Amino acid sequence: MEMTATGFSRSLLRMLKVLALPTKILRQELKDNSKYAVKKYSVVLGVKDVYTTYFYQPLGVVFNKVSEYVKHIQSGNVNVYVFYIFIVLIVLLFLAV
Amino acid sequence: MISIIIWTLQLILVPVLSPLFVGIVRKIKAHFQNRQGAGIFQPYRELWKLFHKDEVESEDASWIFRAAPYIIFAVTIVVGASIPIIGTFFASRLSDLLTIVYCLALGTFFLALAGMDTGNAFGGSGSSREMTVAALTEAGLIFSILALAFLAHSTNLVTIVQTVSDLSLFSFTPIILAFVAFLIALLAESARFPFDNPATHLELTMIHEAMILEYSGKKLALIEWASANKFLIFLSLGVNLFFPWGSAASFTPGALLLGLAVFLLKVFLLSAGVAVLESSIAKYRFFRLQDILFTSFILSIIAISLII
Repeated sequence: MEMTATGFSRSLLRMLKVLALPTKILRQELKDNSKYAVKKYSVVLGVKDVYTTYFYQPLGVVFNKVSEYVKHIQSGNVNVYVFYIFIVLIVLLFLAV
Repeated sequence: MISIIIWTLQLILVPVLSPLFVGIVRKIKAHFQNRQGAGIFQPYRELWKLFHKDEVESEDASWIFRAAPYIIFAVTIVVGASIPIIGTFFASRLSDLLTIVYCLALGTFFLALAGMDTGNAFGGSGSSREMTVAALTEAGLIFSILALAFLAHSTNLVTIVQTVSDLSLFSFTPIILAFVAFLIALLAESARFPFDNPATHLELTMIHEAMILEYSGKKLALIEWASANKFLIFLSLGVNLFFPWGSAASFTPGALLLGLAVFLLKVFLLSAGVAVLESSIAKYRFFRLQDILFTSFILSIIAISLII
């Protein structure tokens, strides 16, 4: 029986568990006529994606909220758009003086 | 001409003296345990015995197994010749902080490979534990010496020794903090308590010993000698960088003899301190080691923040 890479990586991941968030799924398949005797174990070792969950998704939620507020400028009413042009004209006239 | 003689003496100083300090640490631990212990020159006799023994090598061993002892021993000789031991001459590119740390890491790398080479499960477990501890120790080791490098405005170890010996006592608090951080890194890299028991016979508790389980005869002698060399290298870094008074600055015989005597006294005191520390704490569980290694890192960060 040899040493595999799991021994090297999981030790360090377990020590840095706050930053790397390792996950483990342990399943057991029981024998046919028994509640206790196990036929097969399976383990899935993984690492939770820290960057997506704790950085990009909150950032995406913030951008969506800001966009919902800004969406109201595009109302579809042409008179509002003429009003915007009028406001910009007044401001530019003030700045040119 | 004189510098060649002095350099040759420094080259052979570390391998000649290192088993003596291992013997001193074992003797002090034996007295703490209420027994006589072997003499302080016993490691020399052990090395002599191992050099006169035959070797047994596994059929599955590759060239890494055969080459690793030579590489590990050569690394400790090179590093021992480059660090300031007796005095602050021989400043070179090799006596830089990162060069020394990563040369020693090269030795650790080949030791870990050799532990896995024969396919032995105990060697593999020792290698995985050693790599985990080494990955975490590196931060504390580099940052503790980096605190002194910020004081000296240079990462050259010789410049650090010269600068720290000229400082007033007022600026000593960050140096003591950095020394405690360095002491933790010293214990980790020399495989001493609380990281590893150097005298254990149980594979469950081995880190360094597990990787060298397959070695015998002359190769084992080289690896044991290299481990003693590494201990002396870390001891001399600890005393020369953090408490550098007494180092020789020139080639006059008086300064050299004084430098040698002061060096031996300081290293004896630090190795006695290590022996007392080893006798008073137990070996930690493997998954508690990250706490003490992160403490070493944080202490170095505090020392650096006090210096900047």
